[in-house]
Amino acid sequence: MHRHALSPRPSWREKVEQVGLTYHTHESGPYWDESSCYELTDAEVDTLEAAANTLHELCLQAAGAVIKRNWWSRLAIPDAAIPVIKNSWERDDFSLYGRFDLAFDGGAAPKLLEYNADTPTALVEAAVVQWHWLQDSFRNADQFNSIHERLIEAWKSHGSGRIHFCGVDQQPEDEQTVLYLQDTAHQAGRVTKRTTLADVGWHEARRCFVDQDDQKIETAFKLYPWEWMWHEEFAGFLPLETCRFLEPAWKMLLSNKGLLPILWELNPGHPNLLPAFESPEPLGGSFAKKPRLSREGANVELVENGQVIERNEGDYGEEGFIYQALARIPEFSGNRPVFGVWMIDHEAAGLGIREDTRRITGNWSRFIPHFFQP
Amino acid sequence: MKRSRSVQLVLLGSLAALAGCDSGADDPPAPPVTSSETYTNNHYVPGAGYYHAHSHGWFPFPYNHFMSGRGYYQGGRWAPQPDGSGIAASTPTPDSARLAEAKRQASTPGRTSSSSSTRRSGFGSSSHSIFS
Repeated sequence: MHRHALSPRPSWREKVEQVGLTYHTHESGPYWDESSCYELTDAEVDTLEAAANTLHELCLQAAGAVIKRNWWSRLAIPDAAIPVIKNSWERDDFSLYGRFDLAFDGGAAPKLLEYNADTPTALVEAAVVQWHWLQDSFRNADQFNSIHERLIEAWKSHGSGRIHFCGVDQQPEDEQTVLYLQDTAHQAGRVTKRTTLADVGWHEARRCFVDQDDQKIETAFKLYPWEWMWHEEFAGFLPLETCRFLEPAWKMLLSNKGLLPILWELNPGHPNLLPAFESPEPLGGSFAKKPRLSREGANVELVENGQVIERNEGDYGEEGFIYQALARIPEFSGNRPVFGVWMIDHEAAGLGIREDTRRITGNWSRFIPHFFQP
Repeated sequence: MKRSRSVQLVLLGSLAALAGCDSGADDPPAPPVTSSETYTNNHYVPGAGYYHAHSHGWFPFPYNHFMSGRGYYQGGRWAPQPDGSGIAASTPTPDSARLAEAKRQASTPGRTSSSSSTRRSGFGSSSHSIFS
């Protein structure tokens, strides 16, 4: 694994905007950062791919154990959600995507940091923008990235009805992610319709969710976490299951960091897992304290030898915390990469790397493109 | 080889393109799309987009639509130059007609207009950033 310094392409901003990355720059600097890139070996890509596929299987087994053993409280799952989760699990409701965040140094086995299994973003940049960057910059090289084609295949393979695409408006990352996924469904020949979550209605007479035109919503892709939906006004209608959501309700089990101690408990010593527990004591004085439910590293705290070495603020943590052994993150000129492996329709399909000078990946962590020589 | 052979975008990059995917409740209904009908170039069907007579199908942008940095949109591709040839009307392929009709129906406003029997804004109040 190597990190190369590069000269960004001339007019790179226009180039990435043309393919949907309108949020390429934060107020503190670039989010999409092509002033460097990562070069991996073929074998390293195979290792990441295999690790993600293995971890996905372990997560499915762990989710099955949660259901079988009624470990709902270990994930702080609301009571009302339990039958909905169980039904969606038993129906094997279609799951489109997810992203594993892995610690990987090219030597030791990749280690699971977390599974963004419900509302992963950084998708447009991984699937589209870095692919176009590769065409411009390393045309003869390869890239761990068949996300786009796999998304289209997934839409073709599962169902045929209309899909509503819902997200929060006025958030460029969310809007572009939803639009991109709608694009792939459209290309798969699916009938799509866009709505916003605020426009989603509940029709009292017909007892169903409807869109802005009062048309029934039968299948909805929602870029909105399940755990928030269960605490909002329409939560009372979710148990009626009048609508199939993507991601399905059973993904609540995988997107919850409460699954990390369960994974370790069921698979102690697994090479792709870090020791994780529901209390800090087994880890001594060094651990990562993570909320069961949080995003972008919010409310994560790193403790080493009893001292807090890094902490992210935020408003998560109400559902409690888990404790995970500190991961060994490689460092390249002060930058620490985290490897996000995309799962599409249950298979590893691509990679997006984000790096930061801090240890905790957060909102400001930069997306760095990658390539490998086949 | 692990990379995609092609990454083409149809909707992304232009929110305006979504005008073809959404609908206004007050629009009069468009007539059904059939493969026996002849359509002029750039004939618009709500939900399906613009008919490109050369390609016998509907696309999200008008034929020869120009976008800075991409060029001129023709049959799902971006060309460096506009097509100045006279374009005769044509009939769509059965598949494209079927798809366009499905999209037209999907975009047709529901029989029930938004009324007091519909409650809204029941989701979306937990306004964190979704980014994860």
